[in-house]
Amino acid sequence: MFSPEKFIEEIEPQIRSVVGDNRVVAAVSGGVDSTTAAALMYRILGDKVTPVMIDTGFLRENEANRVKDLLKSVMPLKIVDRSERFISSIEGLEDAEEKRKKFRDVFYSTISEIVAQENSRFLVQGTIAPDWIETQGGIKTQHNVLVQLGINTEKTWGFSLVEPLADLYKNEVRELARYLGLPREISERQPFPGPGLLVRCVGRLSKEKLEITRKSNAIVEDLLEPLRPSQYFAAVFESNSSLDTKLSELLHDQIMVYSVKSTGVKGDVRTYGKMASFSLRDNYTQIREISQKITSGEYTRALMRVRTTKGKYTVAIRAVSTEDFMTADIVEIDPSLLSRIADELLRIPGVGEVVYDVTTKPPATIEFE
Amino acid sequence: MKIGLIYFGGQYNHLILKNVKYLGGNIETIDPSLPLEKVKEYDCLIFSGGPQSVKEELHRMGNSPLFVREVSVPKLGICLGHQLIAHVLGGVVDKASTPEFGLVRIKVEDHDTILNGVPSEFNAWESHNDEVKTPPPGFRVLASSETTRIQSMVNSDNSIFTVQFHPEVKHTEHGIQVLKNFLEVCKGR
Repeated sequence: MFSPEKFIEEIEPQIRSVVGDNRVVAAVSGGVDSTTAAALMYRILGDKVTPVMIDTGFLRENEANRVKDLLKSVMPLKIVDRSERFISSIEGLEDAEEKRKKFRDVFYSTISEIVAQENSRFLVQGTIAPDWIETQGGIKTQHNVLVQLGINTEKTWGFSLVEPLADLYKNEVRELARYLGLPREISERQPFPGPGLLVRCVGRLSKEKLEITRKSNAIVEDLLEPLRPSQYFAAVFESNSSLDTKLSELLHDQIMVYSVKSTGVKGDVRTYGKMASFSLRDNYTQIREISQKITSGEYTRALMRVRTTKGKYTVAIRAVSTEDFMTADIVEIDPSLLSRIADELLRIPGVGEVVYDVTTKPPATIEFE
Repeated sequence: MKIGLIYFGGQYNHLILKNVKYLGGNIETIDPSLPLEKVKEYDCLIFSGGPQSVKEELHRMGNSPLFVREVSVPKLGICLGHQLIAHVLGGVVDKASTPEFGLVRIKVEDHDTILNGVPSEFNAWESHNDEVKTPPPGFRVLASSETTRIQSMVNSDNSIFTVQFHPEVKHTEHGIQVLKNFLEVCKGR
């Protein structure tokens, strides 16, 4: 099985031969992968590496300062605030892929400025196996340090990518993180996507939705932490929905269909479709059956309505269990706890409904976009 | 012994590669466009999952029908690989009456070789829009689920094995045992 020691032995000469005597910038999002990649590089190359965290505006509450503090004894982290630039570029966009692509463009142009300021030619990223598997379909040479994203980064942004973790899965990255002496709060931390809360503001991005997403995530993380799911968070979207009469009849339930779309994966094909909700119940065997019936057709996600009142936004609670994030099961959260979380979430102005996402991966992805 | 893993763009391909390596197998990824002669150099073949539908998109699967027909080494077909083998060898593959995504309960009818050592019922993870409706001549069904009759098959001389579920993912119970069983067959040759 995976051995961090052997892994470092193998990767160190590869990294040295690629990077040479050059300075290196390491992008840190505060998640396990990018932080571990940066720490690995810092361990090998020392202060030739500048670890940088960009405040994109899509970070969780107090994220940047908390991460800087956690890493104090491991490496010095530079924080660069570009939140205005990110939010104003993406505000108003609706399509999931368009939002992600715009984020990527702004991210790399920001990073490319930083790389230039540091007189560097290399950018370290925490890309891991599931990322590139989901990004591209082509065959990849294993144990390759340089993984291109299909863009000539040298030409477009003026730096080459170094992706030392490209062949690893999350559980292996965590082992490596522990080996490198990262604090538990980082090594055992739940994954946080590069584009951050952006992918949890489902559909059109607005500042209002973003702030509700930030508050909802803080509440959900706080109340679900004791259950230790592999990943748990909140996603926010407009509550507008209409009744699917046919499916309602078939399932003897009120099946509501939302107008926003979310991402899924069915039979190795990406899907981008509508989500449907059904009424609260407490038997998870039944819940799983309904979820499968809803998603075996056109819908990407099945959401269980915990509480519905009046308001502009729906907050979806998500909690999954998985080791490698390639497949994921739902966590069977007791309805009484769901309803306690709903009480808290409904206090946020604008929130009118709380649902629990009961879709496994596949057919849904873990994040909504 | 060298195992060839035929890659059709499935999400879990890399997991097959890693798991087989961890089990001590010498495995390499093969592009389906590789010439038949090159593929004949392998001692056994695994056909992995992917987004294609064999009924309409066989042309997007390179020389893989040739590999199924012309390379006489032990073979394991997973998901799309299972459907490819069924289709090429004369079975029927079509849209699944109930596409299965995520958790599926597998019932084993015949443990044979590939399901040796797994319980008669276990949880597996799946993701498929098509299914094998009729096995190719000479194949027998080893396992089924409530919504998909053919979850696993074997041919008459015990050299071609197929599964609709994904033994390579963590959420499939005893999946590693299925891969181990196949490696045993490969070693026995």
